[in-house]
Amino acid sequence: MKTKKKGGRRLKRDWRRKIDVTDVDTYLDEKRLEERIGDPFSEKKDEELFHIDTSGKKKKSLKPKKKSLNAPLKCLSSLQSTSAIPPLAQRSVKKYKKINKTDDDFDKNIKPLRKSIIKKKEAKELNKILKSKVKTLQLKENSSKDLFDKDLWTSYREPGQRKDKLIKNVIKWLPSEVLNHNAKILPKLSNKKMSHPSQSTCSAEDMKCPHPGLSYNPTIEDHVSLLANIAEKETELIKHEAHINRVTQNLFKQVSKDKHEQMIIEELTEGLPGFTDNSDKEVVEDTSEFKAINPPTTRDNQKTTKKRKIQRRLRNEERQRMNAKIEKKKVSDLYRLRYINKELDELENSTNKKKLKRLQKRQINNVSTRRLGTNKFTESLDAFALPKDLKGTLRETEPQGNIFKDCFESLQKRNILSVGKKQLKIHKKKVQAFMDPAFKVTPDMLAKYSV
Amino acid sequence: MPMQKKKFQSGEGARYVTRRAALNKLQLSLKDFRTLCIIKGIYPREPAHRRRAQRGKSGIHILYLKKDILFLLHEPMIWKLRDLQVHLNRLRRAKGMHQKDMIKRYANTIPRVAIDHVVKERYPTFIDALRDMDDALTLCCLFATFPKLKSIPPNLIALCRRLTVEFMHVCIAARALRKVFISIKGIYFQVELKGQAITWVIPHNYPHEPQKKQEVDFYTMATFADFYSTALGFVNFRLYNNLNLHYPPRLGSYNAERLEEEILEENETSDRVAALNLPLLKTAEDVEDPADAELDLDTFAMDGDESKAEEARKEYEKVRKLKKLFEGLKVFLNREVPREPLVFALRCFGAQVSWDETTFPEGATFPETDETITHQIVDRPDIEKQYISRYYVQPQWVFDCVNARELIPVDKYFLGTPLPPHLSPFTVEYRTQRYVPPEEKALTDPSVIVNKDQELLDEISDNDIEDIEDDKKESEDETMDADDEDLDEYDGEMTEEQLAEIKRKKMKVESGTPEVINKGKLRREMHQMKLLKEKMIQKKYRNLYKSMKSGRMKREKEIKLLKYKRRIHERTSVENKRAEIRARRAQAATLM
Repeated sequence: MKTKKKGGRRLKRDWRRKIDVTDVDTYLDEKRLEERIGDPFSEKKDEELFHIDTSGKKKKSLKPKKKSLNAPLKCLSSLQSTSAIPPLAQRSVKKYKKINKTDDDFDKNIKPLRKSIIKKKEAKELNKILKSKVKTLQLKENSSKDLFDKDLWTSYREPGQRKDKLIKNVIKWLPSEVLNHNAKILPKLSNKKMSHPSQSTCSAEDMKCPHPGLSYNPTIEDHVSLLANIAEKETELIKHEAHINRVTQNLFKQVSKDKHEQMIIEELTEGLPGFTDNSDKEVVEDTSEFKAINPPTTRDNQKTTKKRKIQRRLRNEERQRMNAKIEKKKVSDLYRLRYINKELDELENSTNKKKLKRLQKRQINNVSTRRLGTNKFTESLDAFALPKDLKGTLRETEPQGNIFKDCFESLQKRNILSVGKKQLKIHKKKVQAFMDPAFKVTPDMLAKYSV
Repeated sequence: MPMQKKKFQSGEGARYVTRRAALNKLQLSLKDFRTLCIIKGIYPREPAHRRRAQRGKSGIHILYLKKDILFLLHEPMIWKLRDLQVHLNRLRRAKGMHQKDMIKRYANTIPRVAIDHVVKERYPTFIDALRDMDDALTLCCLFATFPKLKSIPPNLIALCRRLTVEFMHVCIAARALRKVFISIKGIYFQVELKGQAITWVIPHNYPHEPQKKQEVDFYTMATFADFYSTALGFVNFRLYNNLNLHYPPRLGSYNAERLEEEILEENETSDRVAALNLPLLKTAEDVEDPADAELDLDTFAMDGDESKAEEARKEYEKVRKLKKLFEGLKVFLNREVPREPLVFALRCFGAQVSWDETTFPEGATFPETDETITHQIVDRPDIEKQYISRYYVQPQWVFDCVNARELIPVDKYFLGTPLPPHLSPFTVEYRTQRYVPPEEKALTDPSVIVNKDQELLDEISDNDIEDIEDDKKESEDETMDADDEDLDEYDGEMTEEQLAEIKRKKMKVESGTPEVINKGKLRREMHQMKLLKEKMIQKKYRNLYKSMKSGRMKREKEIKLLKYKRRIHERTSVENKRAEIRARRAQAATLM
């Protein structure tokens, strides 16, 4: 180290100017070089630099080594670092943990397969086998879908159910506050259990007892009674239809198209000059005189003061009489008190009776078919065979009626299904289409292209 | 100021919800909601006051009880239905995108909505389930006849067919059939299982006729069929187990190869099962046959009404005989005869049945040429080759025998003869106020035997006829004297009691005597009571009552008169016969 020069010491540049650092620099340069290239030869041992040749002159005939594709190209050698300094660790590389978990399914199923698959052909065959196996498995599953393999109504409990019961037994001992508090987390804890709502359906029998006249070979009486029943219903229907027609269709006249047009024209041109004949009207006007419905009063009809006085007096007298009557009734009601009590009792009794009747009526209604939706249930006619269709042998009988429909209607009759109308057409909304004005074809365009 | 009460927050308005509200609450589509309601047995209701229940809205909405909807809310099936919806959406998307492997995957893994627990919930006991089998069987039998339709899941039809056949097998094994009725609609069967009468209809064997869409909603009915088929499956399982039969039914012959085959087929409705002709294999040997099962009725008959008990005993006896009605018969079915219902009816009462192999490939046990056949069922006017050893009868004979509960003579049902009318067994008996000749009575009630004078009288000797007349006279006398005798008996009893009282000195246990009911006195008392009741009739109804009474008397008189006439006619005819016989004998004597 050399002696200090005099100078300022305040700023960095003062320091630079005054201090000689070449010796430190050279030292550091040497050090870096050493790090890059390695130790200097002088410091290496002899064994590292030389070796003793003991093999003699025999030369090994070595095959020219195949250039491995993995080796870097020679032309890129300049890009490779020759320094002995190990590169700094990459900061952004994630460290992968080794997965210790073993996939059991994978090990079981695919590993052995992988070993066995060597050629494509084999793989194909294996695939086939696998597919067939999968198919059979699926078939088995499908068939087991419809299997009824347990008795629903035995007291035997399955293992899971038993556990449930155990839990319930434990729960029994817990106070209700605890249960209610925890019910939100464990819904099992709640004691409440929904029971199936009992719903009394219509008492109409499930399978309607068939009328004896429905037999394929009925007695004459039965058949006649069946036909009579049906005829009665049919006449009722016809009557109803006629009534509906009378009330709706027949109220309006049917007019031909020409006449209708004529009527419209007549109606629209009424009163217009030149269309109507004025002669008739004039005649009418001439004979009749204008008269108001309520003619104005005249002074001749005015009440006289005398008449007014009499009327007032009569009114007053009437009022007094009424008041006297009310007063009288008040007095008499006092005497009637005990009777009033009786009357009240009677009233109560009668209302109670009415209430009971109404309840009974409601109960009866409950049993019958009720109206569940917009459409009312109408029973369709029973099946029947005309006498000419009854052949008397089983071979020749033609089936009548529709059991499927009967089933459906019995469900509706028993209030199980609401009566609906089958919507046959699906009414789609009409989408309004607009055309882009650019695509519009105008007549002058047609002219232009001479179409 | 108190809290203002809002409208429809309590009472009827709060108790009902519309269907739309229910859908919102349950977060289901209408289709799913319908399915759920059908399966769970929740139906719409009609409120007492519709306006109030609809919260003041006019019109008619479909209303449900709020309680019912809350009940549905707890159903785990809802989640399944939602999953299903998601799955189907995925499948639809895959189809739209033409992703074949995805379509395959989704189509194979459609989640199944299990409804076993719902069956248990709706039918808490087995008897409940049996009670509701009427609808189930009718619907399943109907679905079994359907072809592949668009609105019905394909495996449902096969399942329905399988289950109905299985149920028929159980009925055959339990000998449960009671009544049959052939109507123009279809064939009605009534079986009795566990004391429950189950009635159902089988459609006639005709090709499927397409239904009108307006008449029936197929989707709804398919849902019903879905539920009912599940219920029927479990009922079948239980019935099979109760009778000690293998549940997926196994047929009689037990050898290893066949068993393997059957296991392979497993639940397919094989023709062999559907033939209904082979007995089912039992799980246990030495089990009592339901046909031979006997019930000791006497043990519990005493506590009820005696006459009722007597009736029950008679009924039971009849049923016991009915169960073995066709035992020992060997029946062959001709080609033109409906096979299934006839085999079912015949096998239910122990007959052996076979048919032409061309009509149904499997199950025929013996050929037409078998000489041991007792009956051949034919439904055509004539047949070329006839065997002497057997009767040729029309199918109605089988059904009439079942309804009559005994073997009817076959002569009215022979080949080509016009048949007697086929009567309904489902009619309720009612009392008629008209003269019913014994011939007509015999039509409905086979127990009444019409005396066929032609044959009977030839055998009756003169003495017998006199005896009969004497009997009649005696019986008349008895009825006349009955009242007087009763009176005498009554007096005698009183004196005895008095005597006993006098004799009795100490308290002691005496042997009990049967209580004697004085029938004459009872009748007289009843008559008195009736007279009193008649007096209590209001004035406005009195005349009506009188006219009714007189009408009844008149009709009774007519009946009596006709009966009397008949008796006279019969007696004269008998006498004529007797005279003839005498004349013949005298002739013979002179000839001798």
